Amino acid sequence: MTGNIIFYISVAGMLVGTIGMTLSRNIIKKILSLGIVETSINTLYTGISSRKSIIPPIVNGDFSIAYADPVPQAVIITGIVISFALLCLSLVFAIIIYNKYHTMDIGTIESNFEREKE
Amino acid sequence: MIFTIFLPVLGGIICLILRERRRLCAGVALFATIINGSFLPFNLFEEFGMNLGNWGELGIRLTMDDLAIPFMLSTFLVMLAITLNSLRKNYDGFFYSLILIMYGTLNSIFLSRDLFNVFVTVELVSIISFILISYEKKGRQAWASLKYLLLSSLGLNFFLLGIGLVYMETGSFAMEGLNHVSSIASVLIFGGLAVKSGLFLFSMWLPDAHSNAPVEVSPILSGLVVKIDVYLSIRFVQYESFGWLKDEFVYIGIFSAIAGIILAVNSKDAKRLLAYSTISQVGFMMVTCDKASSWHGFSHAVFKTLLFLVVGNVSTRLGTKEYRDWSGRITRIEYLFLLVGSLAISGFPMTSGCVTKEVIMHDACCPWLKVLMMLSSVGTAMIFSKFIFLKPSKETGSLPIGTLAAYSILSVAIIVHGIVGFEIYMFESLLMIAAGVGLYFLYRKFMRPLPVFFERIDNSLAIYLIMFLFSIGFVIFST
Repeated sequence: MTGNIIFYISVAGMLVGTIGMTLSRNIIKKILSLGIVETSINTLYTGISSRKSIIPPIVNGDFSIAYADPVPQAVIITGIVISFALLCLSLVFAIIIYNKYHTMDIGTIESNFEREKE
Repeated sequence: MIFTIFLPVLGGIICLILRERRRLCAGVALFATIINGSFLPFNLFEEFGMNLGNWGELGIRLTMDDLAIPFMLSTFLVMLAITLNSLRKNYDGFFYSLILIMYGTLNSIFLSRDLFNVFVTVELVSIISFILISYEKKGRQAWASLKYLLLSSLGLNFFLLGIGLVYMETGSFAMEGLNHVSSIASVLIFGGLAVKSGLFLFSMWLPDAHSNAPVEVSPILSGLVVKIDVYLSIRFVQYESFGWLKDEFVYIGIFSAIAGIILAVNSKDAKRLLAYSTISQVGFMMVTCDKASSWHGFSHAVFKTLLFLVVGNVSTRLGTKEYRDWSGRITRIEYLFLLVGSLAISGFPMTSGCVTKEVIMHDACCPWLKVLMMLSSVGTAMIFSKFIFLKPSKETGSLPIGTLAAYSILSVAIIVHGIVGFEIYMFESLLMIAAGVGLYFLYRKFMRPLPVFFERIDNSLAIYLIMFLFSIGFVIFST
């Protein structure tokens, strides 16, 4: 039950983030939308692990209770670290671009590049 | 076996610690690459499998098989050539450590049989390649990196959703589970990785990133990073849930092969031309998507590395990327290696390009496909006539010893592969080259760079999502 709700919410969050990435004209907003996508996919993995139960998988001697599945939670920690690294790196690139062109608007930056070439 | 993954990473850590001692770091990088390469002959031809850790089936499975051989060989050759070429450039230890960590990670992708491990290693390679593209910190490079980063991480999030579905359905991240998963999981996995593949319309970040990257980085991107998805697609097609993918690749692949040629023929910038040619060659590999295409991946990595290194070095020396300005200024020895690379990629007999290309064309399923593939081969000859008919200057010229060694190793690999695999029916490729050269002289007056409409960030994102929806529709209609 809980697992299903989390699942649908996070898929909806992914769609919202994707639409935000496609439509926004500002680099920072694009990066924030990417953050939304990454957060919702990380949430989805907790949803996957809580399909049977939401009791935390900590061993206390009693194995009759249904536990939450520990494997997706364990692997998604790596995913969280990766998304953190990607957000940091993209902000670094945004800073470099801002220092060179003094704008965050992608239209201005790209027309700049195309004029440079001619 | 595990040694081929950890030795380069260890070398990378040593380089990171000693980052101020530049000569020493270059030595460590060269040493680690050569040691790793000298163990390859023992590793490549044994069947091998192990589970890491004490968790049985939950552990990460590493297996060596036929499919991984060409990719591991090409990784070694490309990394060796790049390290040799970079010796005189005074890069610091950080550069070498990134390259070495990337080497180990790529080997790990080609051995791993665990979907989540594939995700982590692909992301690691991507992060390293973003840093490497903008290594010189120019504005244009940072922009290319950012574009690549946004597209690639969006795609890999879809991939992560796909493997989450695989885990829900089978209870494990092992690749064997792909035999019986729903088609929505398989389309998410394919669509997520396709953004890194270099197929036309799926990955329009590619021309900017490949043409603006530093000299030593473009070969890595074109020869190795793009090959990750080629390798994974060839691997996944063997599983039952991906049966539809082979049919889709026939259309996407041939479309990409032709479109890449149209863009490349009209381009004036030499590095951009090579980037568009990568799009075309990846499409060519994807058409059949079997073992023959993995060997074309190997030969493409080798000759594209040679071409990117020569073109990069020449354009740094002369200060211009426009190939027309090189005429009469490029020295004879540079022209010789440029000629070897161009002939190999157009499929001249006795070079590696001819062998692998002709095998792929020979396996084509139906006549119309064969005609289109011949057309794309003619087009490739047409593109590289631009380099073949450059006029070299009178002087022989001289190269730094490392650069010369890198060029020679790659040329020897091209020619040895070409002679070993040659069969008599392959002389028909001479016809296609002749047709391509003829068309080049006819069309030469009308070449104008095409608009870069699809390469703007918004359009490339939108067109990627549209192609993703197209794949989903294709799956629904074919099953």
